[in-house]
Amino acid sequence: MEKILLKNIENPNSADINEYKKAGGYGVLPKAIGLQPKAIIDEVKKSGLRGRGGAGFPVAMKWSFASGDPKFPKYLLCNADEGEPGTFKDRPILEKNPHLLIEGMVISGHAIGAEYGYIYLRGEYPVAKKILNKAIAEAYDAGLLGDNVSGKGMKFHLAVHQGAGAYICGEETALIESIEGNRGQPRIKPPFPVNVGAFSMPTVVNNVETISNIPYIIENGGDTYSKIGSPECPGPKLYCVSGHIEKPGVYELPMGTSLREIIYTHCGGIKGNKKLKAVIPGGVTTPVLPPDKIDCLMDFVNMPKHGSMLGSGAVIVMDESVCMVKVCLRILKFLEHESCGKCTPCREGTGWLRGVLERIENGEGSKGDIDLILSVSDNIMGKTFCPLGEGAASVVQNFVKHFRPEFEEHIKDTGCRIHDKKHASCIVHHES
Amino acid sequence: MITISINGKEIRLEKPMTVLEAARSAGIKIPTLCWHEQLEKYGGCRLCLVEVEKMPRLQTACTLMVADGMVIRTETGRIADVRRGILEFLLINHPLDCPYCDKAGECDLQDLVEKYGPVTGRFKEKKRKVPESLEDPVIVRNMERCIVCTRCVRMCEGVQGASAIAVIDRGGHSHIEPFSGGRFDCEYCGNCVSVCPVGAIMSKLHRHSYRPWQLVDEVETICPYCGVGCTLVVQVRDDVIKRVVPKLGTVVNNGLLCSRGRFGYEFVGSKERLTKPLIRIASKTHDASRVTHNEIFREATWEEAISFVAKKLEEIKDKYGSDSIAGIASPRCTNEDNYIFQKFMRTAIGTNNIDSTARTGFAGAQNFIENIFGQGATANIIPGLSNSDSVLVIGGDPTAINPILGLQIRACSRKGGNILTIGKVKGLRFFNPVSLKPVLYTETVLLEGIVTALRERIGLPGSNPNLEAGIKDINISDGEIEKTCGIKGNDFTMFMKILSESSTPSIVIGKELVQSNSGNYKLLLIAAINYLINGRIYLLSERANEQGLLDMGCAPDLLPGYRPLTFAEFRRKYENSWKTSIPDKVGFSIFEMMDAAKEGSLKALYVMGENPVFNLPDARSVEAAMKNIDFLVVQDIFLTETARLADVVFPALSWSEKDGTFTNMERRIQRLRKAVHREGMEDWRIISEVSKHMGVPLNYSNPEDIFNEVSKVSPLHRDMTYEDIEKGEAVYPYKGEPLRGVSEEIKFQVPSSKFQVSDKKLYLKLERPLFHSGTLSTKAPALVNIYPEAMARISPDTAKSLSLGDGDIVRVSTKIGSLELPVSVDKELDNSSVLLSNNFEGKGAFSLMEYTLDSVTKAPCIDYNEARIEKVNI
Amino acid sequence: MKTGKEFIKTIFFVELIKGMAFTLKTLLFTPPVTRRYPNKVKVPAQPGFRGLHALAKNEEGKMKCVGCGLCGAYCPSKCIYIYTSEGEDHTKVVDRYEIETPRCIYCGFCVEACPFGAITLSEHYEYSTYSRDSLYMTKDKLLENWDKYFAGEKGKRYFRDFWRPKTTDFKGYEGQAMFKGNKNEK
Repeated sequence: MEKILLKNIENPNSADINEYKKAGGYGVLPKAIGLQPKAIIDEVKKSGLRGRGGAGFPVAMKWSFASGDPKFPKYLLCNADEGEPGTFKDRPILEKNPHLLIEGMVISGHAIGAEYGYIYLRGEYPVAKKILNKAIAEAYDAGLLGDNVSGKGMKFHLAVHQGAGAYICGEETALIESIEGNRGQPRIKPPFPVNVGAFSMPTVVNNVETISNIPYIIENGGDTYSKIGSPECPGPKLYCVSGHIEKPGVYELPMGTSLREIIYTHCGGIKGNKKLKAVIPGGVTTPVLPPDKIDCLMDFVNMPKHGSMLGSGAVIVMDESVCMVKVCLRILKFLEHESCGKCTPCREGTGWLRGVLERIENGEGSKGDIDLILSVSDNIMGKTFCPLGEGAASVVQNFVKHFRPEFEEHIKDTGCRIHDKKHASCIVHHES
Repeated sequence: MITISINGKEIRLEKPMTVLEAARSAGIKIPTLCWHEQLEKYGGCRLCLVEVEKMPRLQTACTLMVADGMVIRTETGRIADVRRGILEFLLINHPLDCPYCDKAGECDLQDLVEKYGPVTGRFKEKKRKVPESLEDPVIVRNMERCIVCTRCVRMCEGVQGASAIAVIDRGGHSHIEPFSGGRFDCEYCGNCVSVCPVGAIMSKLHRHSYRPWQLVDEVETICPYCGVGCTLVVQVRDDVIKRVVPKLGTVVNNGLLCSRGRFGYEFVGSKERLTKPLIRIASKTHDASRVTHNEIFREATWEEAISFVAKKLEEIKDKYGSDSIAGIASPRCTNEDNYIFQKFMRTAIGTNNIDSTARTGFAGAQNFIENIFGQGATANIIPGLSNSDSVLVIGGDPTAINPILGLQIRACSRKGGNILTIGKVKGLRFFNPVSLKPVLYTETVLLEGIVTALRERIGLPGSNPNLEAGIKDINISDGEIEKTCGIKGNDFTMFMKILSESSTPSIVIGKELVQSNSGNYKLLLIAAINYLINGRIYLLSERANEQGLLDMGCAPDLLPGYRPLTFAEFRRKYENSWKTSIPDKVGFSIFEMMDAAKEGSLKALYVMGENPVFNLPDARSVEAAMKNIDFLVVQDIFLTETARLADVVFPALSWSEKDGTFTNMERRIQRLRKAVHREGMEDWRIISEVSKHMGVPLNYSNPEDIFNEVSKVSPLHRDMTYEDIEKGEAVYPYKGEPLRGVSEEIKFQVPSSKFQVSDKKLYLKLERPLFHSGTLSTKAPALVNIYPEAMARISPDTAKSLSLGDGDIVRVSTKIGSLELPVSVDKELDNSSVLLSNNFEGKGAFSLMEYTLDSVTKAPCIDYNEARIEKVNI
Repeated sequence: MKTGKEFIKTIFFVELIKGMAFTLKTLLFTPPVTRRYPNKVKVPAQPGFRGLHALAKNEEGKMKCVGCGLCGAYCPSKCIYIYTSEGEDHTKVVDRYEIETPRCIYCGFCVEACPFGAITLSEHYEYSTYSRDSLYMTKDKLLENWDKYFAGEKGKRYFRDFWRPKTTDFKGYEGQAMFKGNKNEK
């Protein structure tokens, strides 16, 4: 398949504007600016592009909401706060292909009528910040950003805003709060950011990957784009595969590639030819899948049918040597740490779940604890302000659903057979 | 019209609102913790989740807006489970120390758990432990109990505008902390205390000494401190005021209080209070401050003291005539006290020598402005300020002098209004003010410039020829302003643009303006600005009943009801109703009394609830004058500087020990109610007893009697009864008609010479702190803890040039005296000023200030007091 | 209207004679029911009898009461007065704990309300006196009562057998909140 998002990244100087231009970059920009915003939105609509941040919201719809709002100025925010454990798909774009993002931002800005764009960059990406800032400076020098983009009289300014390392700021309203200088906590919706967003103005928040698709769509037409990958949600997708895998990394594949194909064909299978135990298909908060479900097609439509979600496309592969209780605990520790503290169930519930899981993992669990964590996650589910707390609850529910015997053994054996020294002599294979 | 159904009950709504508000309007209770009617919605506690048909997820009632045809259920099994679950979450880290916690009994969380909560807890892990923070003098923080509803933060940021506290840390570690760490560095409004639903932020006052249900006596009364007249609820246990809380839904302050109102009540129970009448035994010539009061006075019975006073006053009246006696009324006393006082002076004594400290600014300014416009200076309601599209503030910081009025200005800014300030207004500095800061003592030129610019932009409307005659020749160019006042042309242009373009402007005038050089001329210019932009004037009032005092006729030229004494018609009317004669000679103003005392023509002075020796400028000469008076009677709650010089001291009952009415600055008459019992007599009763002994009976059995008489004689209060007042809408009338009609010509004096400020000199100015008001607040321990002593505030540059740091002791001296004080460096201050407050006994700014009387307003001008500062080495 | 038989009975005082006979019989032939208290008979109160109040002490000999005031709030005759204040180390100190015993109705609600088992009713009931003042129980007197009437095992037994506060096993209406903790674990 032709690479669209990771085009040219083998070139060691791919971040340079000249190299990018050499490869045909910024070629479509003058044409795009010449188009009516409506035409761009229509083209994107034809392409069927859906947001790559995790929820898969149709991009053209979001844009038309924002461009339809009469308030001015409007803002375009690029969500580069890639905080989900296991996700590193935006990083190659930010570090290797920043001009693709900038080009996409300018075109998107034109489409929605925004004059100001921000790239909200993850706090832990200092390298990307340097590269992006350099690329933005280059783009300003080349007249591709500023008061008169490409000499066409369009105004678009772009700046990088680096977060302080909060996972929650990947949530679009929390991101907006953070850009405004407030504490990073999600806002009440509605009103949605497309109407009342950053600085109370209409705001579109799109993922890095989403925006990076735009130049291709405008260049080759929405129809061409819509033929890539799944028909319901077409386009290329960046899958980042990590864990017990022969060849971990970011793979650009058509949307709807099956999980099995990703693991066994593209990534060379499980490391050391061990047996696969579980896969987390889209970042840690997406429901874990047992080995028998890996034939699912990885896109926004098919994954829910298998009881999981595409999320950010961060595939975490775990082999038989992994203790699922410990994984669950580790994820909960992360989510507890990253809970913003705004709503009660998430603030208190994640800590409680972590506590109980810690007890189970340390072999101090008691009989009712599994029911307790299920009941606690049930109390969180559907009651939180944003999806973070629900993510935590769903992690627990799915781990227990698929690996309940392992939890029970932890309680019965007062510890973990896999990594506990006490049980080191009798490592047994766990069937799910 | 929106029709929704909640729990099967159909509700029709006129305007869009949240589901929660709709439910409350229909009397359906939905439990909440983070929601509060004064605050922005937050949606964090998740307790108000409700089921809405056609919505798969549960929705928070506090954030969901109603839509036509919505079907909502708030009491289903599913909802009950959710509530139980949420409360269980809240309790996992909340200590169950209710028997110990002072909040128990009025704790929202306790109530909700008791109603909806789980029967047993399933949490076996360790609870969060955070030590209680007692570092602050007034507020205790117990972050173990915090449920992170952020009501306090939203209150501090969104309503009070102090932005002093914030949520620190994340997730389960979230807690509230003042930005300064342990001790709060804030306005101490304590509104965070009143919105905290649990015992996480509490007041230190009377801590652990009551449980909410033991506060059986709850009395709604009016704050004793400033002229805003906030409604307070005083909660009493065994005749001790345990705390003061605000009440939601009151017109003036609607659930908000300032530091003085909330924490300043403890003076009532002070051990220093006077209990028995005192009669002087020592001679007057000795230095009163050096002797304990047992050596100056002996205790006497009421009967003895009253008959002694009556006898002496009779003697002096017979010997030297009625006009050798004068009286000073009090803006801290009720309308009834003041009415009786002036009636006593006018009938029993037979003189118009009645005045008060309102003369130092408020009275003159109000009179002046009323003469121009023919209507009251603050004839606008305070909450109306927030609806203005711009507010011009001059002559003081409203957020310190009248804090609750200040909040309205902040609210105005938040609603998108523009704040314009002349001079430094510290409390509004975070509210995006357009600020003009003229060089010291050059406001006149700036105001003239504003009038010039406005006249050019808007033109003279022609409806007030008298006023226009006064301002038509003023001509100050932008260049002159820049040269004289040091204000940049751009700033001035922006200021003028906002001012001239606003459609509903308000002007807030502080006392500093009235007490400055050529005060009357400045007032004229302000009136002109107001006239040109068609604004509304608010005159700040520093004392609780400054307005009521004037209404009651405690002024040498006014009869009750603000009626000029010089009109024979009015005089006759009062003579008829009082069945006596009223002298027609205008009496002494308070400053004239002092002059008369100095030269010896004033023989007796009756002071009710006032401390002229401290509260009048050039305090030392006032003291000398007082010593020169043959017979001085003081009626007060503390042995003040003035009381120490008295021949007879009557102990009075204070605020919260008596009934009556106060009139606030917007002319709203409100009921002051007795909350605690104390042996003694109210001010009016003491005076009527004295009067009775002098053979002029003033027979009233209670304050209501007096008020009924007032409502008969005073046209302002016509037909007003206590019942009307209790309903809360007794803003007295005018009924749109001018009070006295516009006077023919406006008296004012254009300043002749321009004062030149020397760069190298320092000038002493009066500080009006937020935490103190008169000397009364220094008897309230909590306020003293917040602001413990008098401090000379200087600018960083001044401090640097004298190599001074915070806390260094300096000697501040002027022509007439010097004081040794610690110094405090104030970043906001300009280099030619030294600020000193007039609150702390023995350390008052007025003891160092000379004054000149304004020729028109008769207010003292306390500008141009050169000061020197030198370091004192200890 | 009386019948003839009744009329004759009335004339001959039959009823009266019957009554007098019964009185005479009881007077002469039955032993007296009245017990001579306190000279001869003295019945010890049964365990759990609700007599004079006492303030419990913990193992360290300190007063258990923290001054939460629930007893006073529950008290139907409102005869419990509690005054607390902030102590030197900012803790809550019970300054006065007073019970006006003449007004007490010995319902035992205070005992039930107490979350700490601090107020108790002892088996002692003989404290009639000639002065009201001595019936006014102050904190010191109440603590003394504990030493007098609940010394040693007796106190422990009292809590084991008779202290049934709502806070541990009282089943209130559905959804009733409780303080569950280590305060009273058996």
